[in-house]
This record gives sequence, structure tokens and C-alpha cells, in this order.
Amino acid sequence: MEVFTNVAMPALAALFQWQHLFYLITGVFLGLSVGLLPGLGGLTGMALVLPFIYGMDQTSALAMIIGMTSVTTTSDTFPSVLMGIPGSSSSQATVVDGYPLAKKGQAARALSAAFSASMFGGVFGALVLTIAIFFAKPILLMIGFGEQLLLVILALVLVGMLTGPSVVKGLAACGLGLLIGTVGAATATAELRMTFGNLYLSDGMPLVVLALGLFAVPEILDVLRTREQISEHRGLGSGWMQGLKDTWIHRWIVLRCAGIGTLIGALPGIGGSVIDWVAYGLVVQTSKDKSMYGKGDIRGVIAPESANNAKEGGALIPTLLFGIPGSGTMALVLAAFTLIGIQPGREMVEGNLSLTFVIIWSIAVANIFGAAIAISLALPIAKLTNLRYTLLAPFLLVTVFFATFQSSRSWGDLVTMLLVGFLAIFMKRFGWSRPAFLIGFVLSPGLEAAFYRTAQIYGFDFLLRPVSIVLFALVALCAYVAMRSKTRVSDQMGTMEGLTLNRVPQLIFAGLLLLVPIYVVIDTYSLRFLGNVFPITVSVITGFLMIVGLLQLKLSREGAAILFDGDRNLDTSGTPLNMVHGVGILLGLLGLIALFGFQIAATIFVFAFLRWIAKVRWIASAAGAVGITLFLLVLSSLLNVGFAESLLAGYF
Amino acid sequence: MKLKFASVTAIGLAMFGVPAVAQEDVDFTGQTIQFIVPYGPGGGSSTHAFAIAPLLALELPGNPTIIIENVEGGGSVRGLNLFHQNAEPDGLTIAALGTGSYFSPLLGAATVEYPLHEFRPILASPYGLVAYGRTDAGFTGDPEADVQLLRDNTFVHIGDGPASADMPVMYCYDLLDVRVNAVWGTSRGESRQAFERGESQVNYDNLAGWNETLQPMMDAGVMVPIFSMGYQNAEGELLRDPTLPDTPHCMELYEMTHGSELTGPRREVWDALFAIRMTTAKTIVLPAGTPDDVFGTYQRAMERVVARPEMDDPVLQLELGGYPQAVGEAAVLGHRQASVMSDEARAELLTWLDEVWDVRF
Repeated sequence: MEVFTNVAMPALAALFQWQHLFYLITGVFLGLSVGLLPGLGGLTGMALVLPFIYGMDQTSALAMIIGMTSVTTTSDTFPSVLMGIPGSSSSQATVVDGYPLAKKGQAARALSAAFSASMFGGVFGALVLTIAIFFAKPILLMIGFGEQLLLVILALVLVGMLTGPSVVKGLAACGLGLLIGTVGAATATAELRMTFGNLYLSDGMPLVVLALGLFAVPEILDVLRTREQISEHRGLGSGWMQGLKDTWIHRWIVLRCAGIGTLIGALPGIGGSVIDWVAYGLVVQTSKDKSMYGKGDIRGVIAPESANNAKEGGALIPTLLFGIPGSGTMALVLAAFTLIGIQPGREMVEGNLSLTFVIIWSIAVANIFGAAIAISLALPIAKLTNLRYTLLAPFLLVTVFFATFQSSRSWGDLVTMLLVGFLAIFMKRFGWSRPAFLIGFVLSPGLEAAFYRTAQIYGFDFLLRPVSIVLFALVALCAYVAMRSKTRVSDQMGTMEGLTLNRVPQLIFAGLLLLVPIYVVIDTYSLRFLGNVFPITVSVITGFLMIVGLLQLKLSREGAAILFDGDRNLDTSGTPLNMVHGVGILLGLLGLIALFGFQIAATIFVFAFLRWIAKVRWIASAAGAVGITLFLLVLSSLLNVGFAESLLAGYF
Repeated sequence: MKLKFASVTAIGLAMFGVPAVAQEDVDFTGQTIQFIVPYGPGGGSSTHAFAIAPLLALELPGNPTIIIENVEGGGSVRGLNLFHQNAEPDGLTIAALGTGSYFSPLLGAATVEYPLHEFRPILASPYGLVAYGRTDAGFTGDPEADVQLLRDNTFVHIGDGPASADMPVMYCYDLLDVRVNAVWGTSRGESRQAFERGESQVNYDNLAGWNETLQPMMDAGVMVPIFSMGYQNAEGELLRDPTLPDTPHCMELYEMTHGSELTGPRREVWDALFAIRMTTAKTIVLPAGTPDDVFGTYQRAMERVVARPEMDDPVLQLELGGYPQAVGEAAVLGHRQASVMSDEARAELLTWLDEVWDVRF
């Protein structure tokens, strides 16, 4: 208790001095702005701020850093909900239910629910941090490699609900994700797998590139070819007050998911990008009425948003206690600590405790400020969903290409995203679950590493450790519940009952997908055992599932779930564009970038799109083009962002 | 401690009057210098670059702006390939090198497209290394007993890979006839956590964090140091690391257990690994073909940088490794030792990797 009065309260008072508060709010604004734009995130903001930190007094520097990193997961909800574009790795699960809500005209509700949930999640994370820093160390020391393996398996089982209308297709999609996750250097042997001799893939496929290709590309193309605007309803439906009420109604979900977020953020082995999926999977599994998930259930927004803000507090635990970064952003936070002379470790809990409390208070205050600002912007920004989509689309596409390129600043990013995007269009149409694919991808390195490490050190003896026994029981329980459950989550509307379908496109696509596990086996066959055992095992299982799927496609009766074809129910009369146009537009932008470099290409593209597709007057089109040019110029002068260079530049 | 052959040569050359680098300083007023760091923004190389860059900008004639750019990928290979392809030899682009930047060309990795030994170094920062073991596994700090313990057991070692960061320590183990049960693909931070959990019995770390991170572990009786890389002083002598005067270095342990000093190709391999991992752990270089006047300007600016009062700041020292910085001819020498190896020694290294660790290039 005396810690509270002697250390915690004075730290709060110190934070509220004008100078420190100023830096905190600056950090919050920076964090919100940076999180807003897809592709940028905590890392970009930190890289921006790092050069200025050296020489600042500790409290101000801490206030700014923590202020910034606490709110990037708040504002990245904007693109996820409004446009179905996952802005960063922590807002992907939000897309699954948030975007359908926007399509129903409930964007403001989804946003305010998300922000209030984020705020509670973040503050809760700070609270847990307060207690955890004293007790965490012995607990963290009990989570060995065997326990980490069970945690990853638990995560895989929890999100196994997200398999879409057909179980076979969903599991196979997850298997495919696991396989794509093995691209790059093998954990145990550093041998290269499926890199086609290219340096680009040697570090694996970047998550943001995959996520944007999987979700953003098909969504943008679908809206372009089916309707006039994102929101199918005039007006905004139930507004932002309803969102706040929703968060209050479901406060236990907020609390639960915040707890999970903090916990997983603190634990080694799982990784931050899976937290929002785990929270989502958990809320689905524990809900009685699962029918609306994937089609716009507000709980599907509240759960991941609460968890992903809480995880920042959780990730600080190993960062502060051990000097081991709990996430990519934390690695930069650690670098900043070094620059201002803070050494993580025992000192943070003993001599330097007041600084630790400055950090904790900063998290809480930043989350509150950030959420308040974001909620006030929810309604005005949500109005974008009422705009004619052809006005928004060129800017969205430019943004998506920009965001992708920030991953590794290489042409590989753009090409890979488009290839994944084309694949995803058909995955969406034929009902191969993209969330399952993404989860397989995200968990793949962790799963392989955990298996390898556990086997190498323990063999099967790891199951004798006490924490492992508890986790194993948990895994068995969740697997049992998941298998018994009848409902599957999906965003696909309508059933295929009563329709006669052309099975040929389905069969062709499934056949093409089967080539993937076959190729993986061929590519990894000559590697050493530790390098190929995981990919080959997964390939065999996935290949088997796909063959079962192919047989079902050929032989099952009309109306079976496996025959899902999204295009059958699609009403494409809303716009004159079709899929071919969409693909042409994407390739056109890519070609422009190849010729002129990103900045000029963006200008030309926006102008051309507005003028000839949106049919806007010359002056307005020119204004749009000028707008994007100025925006990119400002961005590049303020932030250290990269723009794709023209491919011709190397020749002149 | 014997003087190393290379150092004797260097002193000899200096005495016979190798021509001095051109004395005219180049002016960088109004210019922007691009500093390429081929690693991610949170790592040690970036921290090192962030610490040095402002001081260098103050000492270069004309006080140019230095902008740091992180270009990740392929363990620093991508950034350095791009550096070599695109950087003009006009002093407006410099790059940072880490240990991986030396290992990859040394091992003949196919992805390397940069001419390592042609880069012109202006700063080489030494970083110390210590290998340590858990007391509850039986380590006591008595060198002979500890080596015997290592030989009698197959302890678990958790690290990154035998052909990357862990190579020097693994090679030392091999020289001491020690076998370990290695688990690869783990970051430094995770490795240390695993050690603290007791899942590995041996580990190693940078000595830069000794006071804050490692010494508390030793004081609490959890671990004892087994050996360090050692330290090469200005005269070229191989000594114990000044941070750990009571801990022998690898070559000492070898002499203790084999009765005589290590010589021949295996010694050459060790010397190169020492140079890469210890002497020039983090280097800053100018592109190949940089003219002498630009190079000389940078060298003189760096000499002034390391003489600045800011260098006494313990926080800055931590970011730069904590040892005396090598500039001028010392940096050139260190870089050469780390980037050039005889064919015989290289064959020995590749054979070792193949036979002991099943790694081929």
C-alpha cells in the first residue's frame, strides 16, 4: 500500500506537469496519425521519434514514447472497419465483423464500440502491469518451451472455429497458411525453403503484405463491382452512442479479452499478431448465439480491440523485467530506453520504480486520451462509408500499395501482394476461409519452433511438468468443444440450397490449390530432417484434406456446404464494372509504378480513375490528383517512408 | 602473450614509411550523408549508429546532416548489396557492418554481392563476449574443472545458428573437444530467458550488459563465467577481457587443456573469428573505391569524435560496446584481419561446419 502513496501517486503527479503532459499528448497524436494509415504503425512512429529522444529528460521521453505506442492499436481500427483494410497486424480480426457492420451502415457504432473497448483494454493492461511487475518474474520462468508449444496449439484450436461454411475447406486453408508460413529460412537449420532463389523471400513472406493481399484486394474489387458505396444503407443507422452502450453491455467480454491480451502479450512464444484472433476465437466459442459472427456481430469487434490494446501493457512486462522485447515495437522501445539511459531489469522494480510507474500511468492516460479523440472523430470519418465508392477507390488503392511497400521496401512486396490478392479473390468466392489461412500463417513459425525446441530438449518428458499438464487439459477441452460445435463462422450470406451450380470452376481452383502442398514436398525433399519434417508433414495432411475436398466437390449432392460459390448470390447490377475491370485496374497501377515510380504513378492513377471511371469533371479529378501528390510529399518529408522506384531507373 | 603476426607487419610497414593518406580535407557543407544500417531499427547496430551519427556530423568539415536508413533483409546482405550497387564513392553514403556482414562472404554465401575487403573502414567498435554456465549444472569457475565438466556432458545450448552469431563460441567448444546439444533459431533474448529457466545449461552474451544483466545473475549464484573471447590491446597482444580479469579467454583454456598454443589453419580460423566477433564487431565503412582525400577526411573526423568529452558518458559507452574505439590505421587493420582469410583456413572452417554441424554452402 505504501508503494501506492510513496511511489505511484507522486509519479502520476510528475506526469501531469505541463511539460510531460505536452509530450504525452504529442505522442498520442503521433500514435493516432501513424496508426491510421495502413502499413505504418508503432514501428514507424518509434523510428520517427528515436532521433529526438537522445538528450530529452527521462520522464518527457517516456511519456512521448509510451503515449505513442499505446494508441497505435486504437486508430488502426479506422481502416479495418471502414474499408476492410487491416491497417496493421493487430487489427485483422476486427475486419471480420467490423467491416460487415460498416456495410450495414453501422460504421459509427462499430468504431465507438471499438474505441471504448480499446480504452478499457489498455487501461486494464496498465493495471495488470502494476501488479505483474512484482510477481511476473517467477511465473514467466515457469513457461518453458514445452509450455509454449501447448500455448500455440491452444491458440490453433481456439481459432479453429473460424473455418467458414465447409470444414474441409477451412482446415485445408489453415494448412495452406501453415505451409506459406514455412517459406524462408528454416528455424533449425537455416536452410531456405520455397524462396525460388530470391533474396526477397529468404526472410519469409511479410505479414502485412499477405494480410493486405488476402483482405484488402478482394474487398475493394468486390465493392467496385457490386455497389455504389461501402454502406448499403442510406444514413448511418444506429450511431456512436449505441457503440458505447454495446461496450458497457458486454463489459465482461471486454474484461476477459483484456485479461487474455495482457497475458499473451507477456508470454514468450506466441507473438502479438495472433492475440486479436485468439480473443475473437474465444468470444465466438463462449457465445451462445453464434449466428451473426462474420456478418456483423458487435462482440466480434469489441473482443479483439480490447485484447490488442491490453497486449501493449502485457508486452512491457518482459521488456521491463528482462530487457527482452515482447514485440517488434518493444524492441524499438528498448532501444529508446538505452538512448535515455534506462536499463531494464531488477532496477525497474526496485530503485527505478517511480519511472516504471510513469510508464504505467502514461499507458492508462494515453489510452483514455486516444480513445476520446478517436470517438469524437468516429462520426465524421464514418461518413466516408456513404461516399460514392468510385471516389474513394483510387485513394484506397494508392494507400494499399503504399502500405504494402513499407514492409520491406522492395518490389517483391507489390508483386506478392497482387499474387496473393488474386488468389484471395477466388478463396473468397469459393468459401475457403481466409481467417483460417491467416492464422495458419501467423502460427506456423511459432508452432514449428516450439515443436523442434521441445523435442530437441525434452522428448515427450515435457508433458510431466505441472504447467504443461494444466495446458494440455485446456487444449483437450477446447478441442472437444470445438468439434462438438455445429456453427461455423463465416461472412458468406445465404446458402446454396436449391441452386444448381457449375462445379467446374470450383474443381479447377481446388486442383490448383492442391499444387501447393505438392510443390512444398518437392522443394523441401532434399533438405535435412529438421528442415523438412514440418513442411512435409503439414503438406501431407493438407494434401489429404484437399483430395477429400475435391471428392466432395465432385460427388456431393446439390446444396452441400462444400459447393459454396459466392458469385451465385451476388447482385452485380449496382455498377458497370466487373472482375476483369478490377484486375485491369490493379495491374494498371502496378504498371504505372513500374514506369514512373510510386509518387508520379499515384498522381496519374488518381486523376485517370476519377476522370474516366468515377466520371468526375476535369477540375475535380485534377484536384484529387494534386491532393494525393501533396499528401505523399508531406508524408515523405515528415516520416522516413519509402516509395517504390521506377523499374526503368536502373537503365538510365 | 605473443605479438600477433599481422600486428608486427603493421608496425613494420609504418616504420618503413608507407605513404600517408592525403591531407586535404573535403568539405561537406550543406550536404546530406546517408548512413545505411543493414539491420532492423531496434537492434544493436542501429543503437550504435544513432549514438555515433550526431557526433560524426559535428566533426565532419561543414557539419553535414547524417540520415540513418535501415535496410533489413538476409542478415545484412540485402542492405550491403544495395549499398555496393548504389553508393557513389563521394563520401555521401556510409554503411554499418555487423558480424553477419563478415560471416556471409567468409562462408561463401551465394547471395553476397558486395566486395567486403574493399570497403574502407573508418571506425571499428569492439564488443566483448562471455560464455557462462549454470552453477546447478556443476560449473564452479575453476577453468580446468569446468572444461572437464563440459566434455563429460552434452549440455543444452540454445542459440541462433552454428554458421551465424554462435559460430565463434561453437568453434571454441570444438577446439576444447566439447560437444553440446544445440537448439537453433532463437534470438539472444529468448536464449537468455531459456537459460534463466534452466532449460539450457550454457549460454553466451555480449559483455556490454555485464553490470546490469549478467553480474546480478553471477552475484545471485545462478551462473559463473567459463571463458571470454579475450581482448587485443593496441600492441596486438591477446589478453583477458578487462571487464572480467578473473576469467580466462578461449586460447588460454586451449593451452591449459592441450599443453601448448594453438597454431596452424585452426589458429587462423580462430583469429579471423576473433577479429570479426570481437575487434570489429560493429564497423562503419565507406564504399569501395572511395578516393583518399574523402577517406582521409572521414578518418580524421572519426579521430576527433573518439576524443570528444561525450565519449566519457557511460550511457554512450554502453551503446558503443564499452571498449576503446579503433579509428584510423587500427580500424583498417582490424577490418582486413576480419575480411581476408587464406584458402586453407577457409577450407578448414567449411569442413568443420559440414562435419560437426551438417551445414553446407
